[in-house]
Amino acid sequence: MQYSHEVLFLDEAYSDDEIDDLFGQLEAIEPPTSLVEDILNRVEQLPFSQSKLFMPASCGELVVHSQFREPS
Amino acid sequence: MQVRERTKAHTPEIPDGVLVKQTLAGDQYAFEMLVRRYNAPLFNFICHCLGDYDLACDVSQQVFLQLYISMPTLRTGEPLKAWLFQVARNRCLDELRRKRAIHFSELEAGNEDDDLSPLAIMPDTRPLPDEIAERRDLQRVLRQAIASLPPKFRSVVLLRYAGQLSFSEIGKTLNMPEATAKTYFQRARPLLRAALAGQWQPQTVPAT
Repeated sequence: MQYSHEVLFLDEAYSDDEIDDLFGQLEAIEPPTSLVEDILNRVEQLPFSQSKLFMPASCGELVVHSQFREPS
Repeated sequence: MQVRERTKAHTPEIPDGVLVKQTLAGDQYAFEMLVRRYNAPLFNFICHCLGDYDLACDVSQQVFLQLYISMPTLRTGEPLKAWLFQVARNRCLDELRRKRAIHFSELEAGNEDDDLSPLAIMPDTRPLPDEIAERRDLQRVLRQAIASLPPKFRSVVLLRYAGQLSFSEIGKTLNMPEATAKTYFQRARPLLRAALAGQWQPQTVPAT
């Protein structure tokens, strides 16, 4: 399908499928290749109280950091 | 309707809920898998929302940091994808509100809708072959058409076309019924058609 800049009457313009087809060509903007590493590095830099929220399970039970424990 | 799947860089499909549980159990690689699964589609959506590549990088990082911090309190059964896009959208709206006045003054095109166009912040003054130039024109027209939509329609359209979300996921992301998301999308279509008709139109190839 070729495109030009000529103006058509509105009711002669795009069908729903043509709209979807056109916007399906909206370019996917790729993130930088370093983004994942940057994210993981920032997680590592979180303050201790946040970065160590997740404790290894012991005896089959999940240990929840006291910050998120329900008040007794 | 066919929406092209452009970003499906998935690792073997371990369900999100399993990866969340593994992360909570101390498996940092599980978190990395979640990041790798969603960073591309999220970034694409964020960048289309903001029209700022560097800012999209920052916001993307913020979204995943928020995920990491919020993981212990995520509601079980809540779709993670919708949660991520909801956070991303909210962050984008915050950034747009904060930067809108400054951003307008920096735009070369001078159109108030161009704040959503990445083209406005990635200038290339070199002469381009016609085909590449036409493709860039199409991208600009598509982004301007989306930017011209009322905000509630724009969110649905961006989540659909840039985020590749289903209507069910869009509804969960925007806290609206799926039917409402579909209705907004259908109502946006004539507006998109009007925005395109003035600037771009399909041309059928004559039969030989």
